[in-house]
Amino acid sequence: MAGYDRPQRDSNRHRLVVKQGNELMPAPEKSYFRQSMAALHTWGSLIAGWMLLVIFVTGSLGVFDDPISHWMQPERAAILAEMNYQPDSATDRQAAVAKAQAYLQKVEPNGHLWFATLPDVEDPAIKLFWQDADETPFEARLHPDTGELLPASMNRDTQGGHHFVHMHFELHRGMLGVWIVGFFTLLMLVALISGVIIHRRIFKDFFTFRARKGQRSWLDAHNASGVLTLPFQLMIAFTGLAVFVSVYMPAAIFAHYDSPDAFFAEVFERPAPREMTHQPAEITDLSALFAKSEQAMGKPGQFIRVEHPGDSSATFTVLGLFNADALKGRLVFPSSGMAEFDAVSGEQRHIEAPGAEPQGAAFRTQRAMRTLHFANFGGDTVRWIYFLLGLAGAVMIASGSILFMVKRRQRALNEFGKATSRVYRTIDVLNVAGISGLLIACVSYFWINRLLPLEIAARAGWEVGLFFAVWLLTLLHSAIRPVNQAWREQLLVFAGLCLLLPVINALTVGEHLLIYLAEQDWRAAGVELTVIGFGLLALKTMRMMTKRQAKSRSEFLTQQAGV
Amino acid sequence: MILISQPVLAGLLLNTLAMTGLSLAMSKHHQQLLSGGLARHRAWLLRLSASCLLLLSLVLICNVWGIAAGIVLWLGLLSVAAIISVCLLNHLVLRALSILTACMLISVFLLI
Repeated sequence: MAGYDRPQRDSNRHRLVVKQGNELMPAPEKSYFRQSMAALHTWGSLIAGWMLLVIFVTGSLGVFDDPISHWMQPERAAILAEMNYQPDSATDRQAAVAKAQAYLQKVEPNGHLWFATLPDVEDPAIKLFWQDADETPFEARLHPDTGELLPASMNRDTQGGHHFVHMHFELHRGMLGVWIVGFFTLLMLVALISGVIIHRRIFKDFFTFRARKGQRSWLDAHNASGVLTLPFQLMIAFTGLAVFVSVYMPAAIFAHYDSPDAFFAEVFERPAPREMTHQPAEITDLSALFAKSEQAMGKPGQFIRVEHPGDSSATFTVLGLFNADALKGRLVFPSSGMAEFDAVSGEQRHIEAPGAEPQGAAFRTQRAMRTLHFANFGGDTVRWIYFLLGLAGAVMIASGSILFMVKRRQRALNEFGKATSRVYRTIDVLNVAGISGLLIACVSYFWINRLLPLEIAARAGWEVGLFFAVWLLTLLHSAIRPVNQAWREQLLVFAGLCLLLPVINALTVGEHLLIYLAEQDWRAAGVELTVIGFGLLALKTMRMMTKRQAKSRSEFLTQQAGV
Repeated sequence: MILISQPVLAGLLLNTLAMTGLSLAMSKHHQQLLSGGLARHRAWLLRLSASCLLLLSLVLICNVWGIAAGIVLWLGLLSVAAIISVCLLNHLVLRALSILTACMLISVFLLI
């Protein structure tokens, strides 16, 4: 990148070569190395940039998935207010397990998996997740007192903040998405390291940011956001890969174990899942088993799981409540407790006491990296730091992609011969849709949550589908508008959607920022305040752009007049 | 005392001070903020005191958060502090605003 290579230093180097008395001697290898790293950084990052931006923006939002889900399901409060269910009462918890069993027995007696989360003070519903024999997933939410399916009016069916988390690590595409994200994360590491190599003035320009200088400012913004947050960016990319190490590097597992299940059973020191026998067998009373496992663990259970119900190999597992915020400052979490039973005979298979430490240096290292990536080792303090530094990463990526075009708009480099202008136009279009379009799609997701009727079937899926539809619209818009107008219009739409979110919230569910503040609902207030902050930032950016364009137009006119 | 009850806030403020000190130890930024030449001994004094502040905040945070999480948190706060000091160097309005915000934060946390 020419921006990094200062011309006088290059010419010095040439002089050095000449002095040695051999004019044909090639430039020193180091310079070739730098040049090849520069090419790798420029082109590798250009290709990876748009996807990495998706990963960074949704990952930063995903840090606050719980507050976002809380904002997106205002109906929870009404149920919490009227319910008799006490999360602290053992009898109520057993009754909830019985309700979950009764419902699942009715809808999917021979499925692949049942999973249920018991009500807590944040979300009052009994949350069910199950897979049929073909492993197709289903979800439902039951009323904690009646055990009936929550009516649409009490249940805003949504993925909430988990939508952003899923975008972040699998793009809503399952295992394929995990691989795609892993590939681009690797490119992120390549871009970071090649970026450090070609940046010649890391320490001299450490604190430098020159505003209102066009291309110079974009380069400064790109450098500053990258260099100042480099430890975080390296850590988050590396630990992101480490979270899925058994997926990305499975060779050792296949070489040493019969199946991944056997490997996981060994590292987690838990019994391996049992093969299906295809002998039908009735499941025993799970609430009695649940009471037994709470006694064995010595703490309340929060999650239950039944593997292949209806088969004689069925197992029943109870997991204790995991409260990361109570373990502040720890990177390797102890077990939150687990009990496993034969779901037919009721015979105990395994007990893991809460507080048991994971064993094995490699496993503990992987767990620590996982905790580092998940930002749950220090409550909201750490979450805010991750949010800010994640956004700094997004700024680095976005400013890099913009810089690529800003530079070439000054002077085309004709890398693609006749096709150059078409390629540049494509990059411009993708930049607008990939940056401002992505932001519009993210805030639209909140609007969709409020505007989509509660009664429609598969509502959560519709929300995600419409998120992608809005994003596609921004791509169409940027494809048919001149690039400067496209930027301005999309930023304006984004700012409008952000700043009007409290209004649409008030009009649809009758809640807004002031109510949240009065009720001391900090999570919902935080979500709305942050969205408003983004809106103000977008307005500011738009004003700067308009000024800048007016300035360059007047400069152009003066130049013309001078000629 | 605020330093002990709010180690994260204290760490952030100390790191911001330290990063601003380190930037002032460079003649280009010294010129920007104080519009005077930078004497050699002053540069070294600034670097030394900034290092002491960084060490102090590291010790403070590790005392409360443990060494593993403490170092991670300290590094994160260091990045946030660096961003803040870059903004302070280049933006007059932000300079004034940040002083006001810091005053407000400190007084709020002193009240708690």
